[in-house]
Amino acid sequence: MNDVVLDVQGLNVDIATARGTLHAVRDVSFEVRRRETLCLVGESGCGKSMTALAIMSLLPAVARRSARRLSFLGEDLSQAGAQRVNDLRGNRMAMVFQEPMTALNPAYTIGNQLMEPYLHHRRSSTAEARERAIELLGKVGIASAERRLGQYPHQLSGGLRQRVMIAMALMCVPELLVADEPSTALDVTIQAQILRLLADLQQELGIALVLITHDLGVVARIAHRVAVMYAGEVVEEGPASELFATPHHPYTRGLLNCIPIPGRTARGGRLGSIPGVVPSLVGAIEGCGFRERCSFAEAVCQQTVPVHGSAAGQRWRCIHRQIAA
Amino acid sequence: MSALLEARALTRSFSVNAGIFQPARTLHAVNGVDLTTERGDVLGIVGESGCGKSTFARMLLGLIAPSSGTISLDGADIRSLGRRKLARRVQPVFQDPYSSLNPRRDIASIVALPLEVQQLGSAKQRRHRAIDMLERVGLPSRHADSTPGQLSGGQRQRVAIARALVMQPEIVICDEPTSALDVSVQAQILNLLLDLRREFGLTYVFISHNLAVVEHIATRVAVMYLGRVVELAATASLFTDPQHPYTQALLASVLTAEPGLGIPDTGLGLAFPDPLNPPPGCPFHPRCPQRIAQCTTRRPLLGQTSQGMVACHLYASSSPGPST
Repeated sequence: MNDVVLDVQGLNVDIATARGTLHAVRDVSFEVRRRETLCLVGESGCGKSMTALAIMSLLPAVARRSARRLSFLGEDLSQAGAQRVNDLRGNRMAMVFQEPMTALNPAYTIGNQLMEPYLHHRRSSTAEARERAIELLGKVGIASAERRLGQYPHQLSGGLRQRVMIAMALMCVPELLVADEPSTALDVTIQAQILRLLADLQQELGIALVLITHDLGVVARIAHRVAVMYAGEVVEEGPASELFATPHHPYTRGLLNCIPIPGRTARGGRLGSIPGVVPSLVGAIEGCGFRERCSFAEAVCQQTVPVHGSAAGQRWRCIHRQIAA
Repeated sequence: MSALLEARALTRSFSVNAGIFQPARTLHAVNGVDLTTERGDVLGIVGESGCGKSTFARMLLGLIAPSSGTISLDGADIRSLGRRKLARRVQPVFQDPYSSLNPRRDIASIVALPLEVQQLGSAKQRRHRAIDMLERVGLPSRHADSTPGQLSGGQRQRVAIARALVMQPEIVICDEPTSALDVSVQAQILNLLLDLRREFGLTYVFISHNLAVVEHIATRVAVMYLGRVVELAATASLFTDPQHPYTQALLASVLTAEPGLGIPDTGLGLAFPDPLNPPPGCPFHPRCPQRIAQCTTRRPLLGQTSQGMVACHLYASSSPGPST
């Protein structure tokens, strides 16, 4: 379908460390369409941020990216040179980072930072860029935008800073937006406001959104599709409603049992938990990365793990086609 | 029966430097808080960053002194008790297990430190008891000689819990104990805290910004806003029938893992509160979707309702406060 904005197939990210090669992202595949929100969810160290950086060609120098396919609107990004990537990034594909305090430059005004991508990509006049910046600040719900343009990041609250980050990413109306934990550092009431804003603007502008989060509550409320990552791999992927209703992978199911859900978990009762720790991703990895923590594991889990699919569009990486309830 | 832990009109202000040549300004981090905890309670304290919940916790632990007001333990003022005696009965678990454990000491000696401070037992007995406690919190004794750097986040938080419990305190003050942890680990720690409470008959003051976690673990919940308690109720009633508009907005903002519900509209607007310059009248009124005329001039006091206590003019029984 020509609606596909981002098509990732078999993405790997390897990082050279003193102890050997760290396989941070392993054979990750997904697609994102126009107006669709894909959530990458997983715990710390599962490779979700590395996946985002790989898409944006922002990986640290020690990391190596390879992919069977990494295409943005039909264009192969793995073949694109630095110049081409610079033309796309901040223009047709943009990113919102978790920490607005460190992602914004403290030495420049909000206006300066907002206008920069527009001046660069659109080669517009300063007056045009300024007008656009005021328009965008209004769109993200910031009042008295003209006054804000002259302010520095430290003069804004965390919620306002994150709104500025979103406005900045949208200056050139990107087709793809990658947001890495955009609401994690914020209070709950502000988090709800920011996510609502992001979802509204995404629909209005027809953006394909990749949202990275560890918070299953955020995923449930905003995602159309979900990719659950564990130890560098996507272990389960599918439409959000199906994935929450019938998780097929033992890790997805374990994760959902860990969080208190009103009406489902008894107050003060025991929460599910996943014993053990995440395996090391350094060196050769064989079989299922989750097997040592999995109550459904069998001897064959040490070998290659098949991918199953369901009629509802879920795919999961497990030796079991079905696990007992 | 008197309350186990009781805070009366507790206030703590800080002098904040507003810049060179500017007079210092006063920040009321905690402003006239009355809260009691009965034995066996889990008192949850929720609120957003800067609402004073951590300052309140530090005062309960005797780590900072109140500017005014009193804290009493079984009816006795904690100032007359002294730090060491207080520490035997009230112990902390902090948010960040990466910074609350000494990176240069081994796990057993970290856990044994409170016993050492209290000069209880011989070194051998202390180590034995520390290892015993580590096993109770689910850390096998082979970790006793590890340093914190060799443990995962969840394991470190277990060490912090073992250290808090090694002297068998009555009260544990948990300040965001699971916020730095991944969800699968968070569940393990919450289960552990609930088990230990039953086993040792502990009382918790449980501070968190994560409402789902507080709903799960607390028996009573206090909601704080700009240094004051705005609502206090039994957990079930607070979560099913919140009274204060701020509590309502807070609960509406919680994104539970229920797909299809979408993202709620909090109706709060952008008027973010400045703790250095709190608004007159009700501190919440600039963001309140239900404000009425007197909210901008009179601060509502905490008053009894059928559900619990609430400080809001919308509830008639909430007594009118002083004109501000």
